[in-house]
Amino acid sequence: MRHASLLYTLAAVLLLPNTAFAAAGHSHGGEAAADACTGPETVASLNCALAPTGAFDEQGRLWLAWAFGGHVYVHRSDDRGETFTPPVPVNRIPERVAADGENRPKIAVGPEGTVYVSWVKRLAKPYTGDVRFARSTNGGRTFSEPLTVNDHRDMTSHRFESFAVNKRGEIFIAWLDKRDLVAAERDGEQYNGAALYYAVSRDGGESFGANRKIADHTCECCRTAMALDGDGLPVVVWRHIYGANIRDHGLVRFEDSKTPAEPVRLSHDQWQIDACPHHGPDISIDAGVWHTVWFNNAPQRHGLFYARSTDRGERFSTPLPVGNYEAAASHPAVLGIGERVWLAWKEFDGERTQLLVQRSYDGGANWSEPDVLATTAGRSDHPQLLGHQDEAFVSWQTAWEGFHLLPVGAPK
Amino acid sequence: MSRRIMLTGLILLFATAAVHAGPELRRFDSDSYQAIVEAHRGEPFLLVFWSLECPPCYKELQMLGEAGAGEAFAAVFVSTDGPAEEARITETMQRFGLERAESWVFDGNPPQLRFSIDRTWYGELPKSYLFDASHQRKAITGLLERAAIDPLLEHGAPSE
Repeated sequence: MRHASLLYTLAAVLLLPNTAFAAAGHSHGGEAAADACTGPETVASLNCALAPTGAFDEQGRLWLAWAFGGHVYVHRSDDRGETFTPPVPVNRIPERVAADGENRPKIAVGPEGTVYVSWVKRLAKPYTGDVRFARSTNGGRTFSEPLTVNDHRDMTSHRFESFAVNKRGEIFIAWLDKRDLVAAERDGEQYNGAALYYAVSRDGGESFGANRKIADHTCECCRTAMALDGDGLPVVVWRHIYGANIRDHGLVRFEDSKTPAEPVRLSHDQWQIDACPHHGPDISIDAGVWHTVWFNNAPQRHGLFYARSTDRGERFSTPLPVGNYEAAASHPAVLGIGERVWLAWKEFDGERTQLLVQRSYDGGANWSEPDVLATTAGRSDHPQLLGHQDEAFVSWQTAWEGFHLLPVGAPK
Repeated sequence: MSRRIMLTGLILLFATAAVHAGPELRRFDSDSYQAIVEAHRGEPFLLVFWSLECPPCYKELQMLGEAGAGEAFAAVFVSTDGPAEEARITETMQRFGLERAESWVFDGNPPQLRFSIDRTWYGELPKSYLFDASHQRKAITGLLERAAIDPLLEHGAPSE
């Protein structure tokens, strides 16, 4: 029995392709630590975690969700990432948890201190999955039996979810869904890409309502991102397919908790590509300003771009290029707190991956020069920006050094 | 006695040949790009980067398999999946009739390996590079069109 479960764990780890560090190289001594994480004796720990994702609660405690060996684990740090409580498995029964930069467990803490976790369960066929959700109403000691959010259960792609919980306790979740592709293929018709679907929970995550479609023809393999506007309603950004194969970004806000508005086009870089960018956008909203950041690689317009809107997405500022395109500036995150805004991304200088941050103190109108916050010579996860009250942090997992929680600037 | 040694030698020879005839998956490190370009000096060839996790890559492998890549013209395939996926990579190459083509797998930090090939490649797949006889390089991001390999087919089979 014990051997069977160990074997399952090992198989689950090895079966996760595209994971942050699963296929660590053998030629670098520093990656021995990462290699050690795939051994049968390995126990779940943050050092061996895949794709840890964080959120602060109202008390400023950091909660992390990550994947290891067929489980999502959650634990908490009361001292800004110095020490953590023992990790608690969320799903009791092991399943294949998607855990790469674009498709990772997510966590949020609701108004009553309820801890919510979502992730994608990988199914047997490649590129397929179900959106899973669980909650803890006892401070992260135990979690509810996971539920599947997508009400379409064919073995196809329901992945790349993002979710948010507002002060009323409503939980919005959006994801990329290929049910319309399945239907079209059944009828012998063509369907380009996937679709953006959403669902809402009005009972604190015990259940989700019927799935509704927001947009047809999204790109299939880039993360979505969600932020709440001043009314606690979701705004979602994603990579869309415009025309035959132009993969620019779309954005949708909600009129009320039941009604998505007409989606708008966020980026106009005209990236025509029949390929997998695996490189999704980010959004943050505060003080009435919507901050967005994305990556495109069109021949004329390429690299990272930042744009903001002060009129709820009616108009966006001229996109501002971010980072050094020749140094592979990639995987950007954005966070706004009042007038202060941070951008974080990665670059590569030929030897080391650098974590860079750029700051604005006027709501995103003007920006500082970029700072290098940290570097690593091994593999690394996508950086994330996390805020609590006046403070902002970057969370970053690297294969050689482990988990970082880095403050990104004192209040000004 | 000597016949026995000869026989053993022959068996060993065949065993070695059998190993080499099979699909050898070579490890792609930060020097491999230059090594591949050097090995194909004076010859037009196609360099294809692909991954098990990339649906359009399968379409491309199928097209290239049908076009006789590696036999009718010089082609080099590099999977970005990592050595842990060796079995699936080999199986996939066989499935598309590409088992005789030169095949590599990323072994190292992907940003570093990409840096050694093309600083403006962000990992989008499939990614291909067409080299003409004077080794002018043309990058193609996304699915390769069948017409793109016509010049290679005109040139014909790869040199040994």
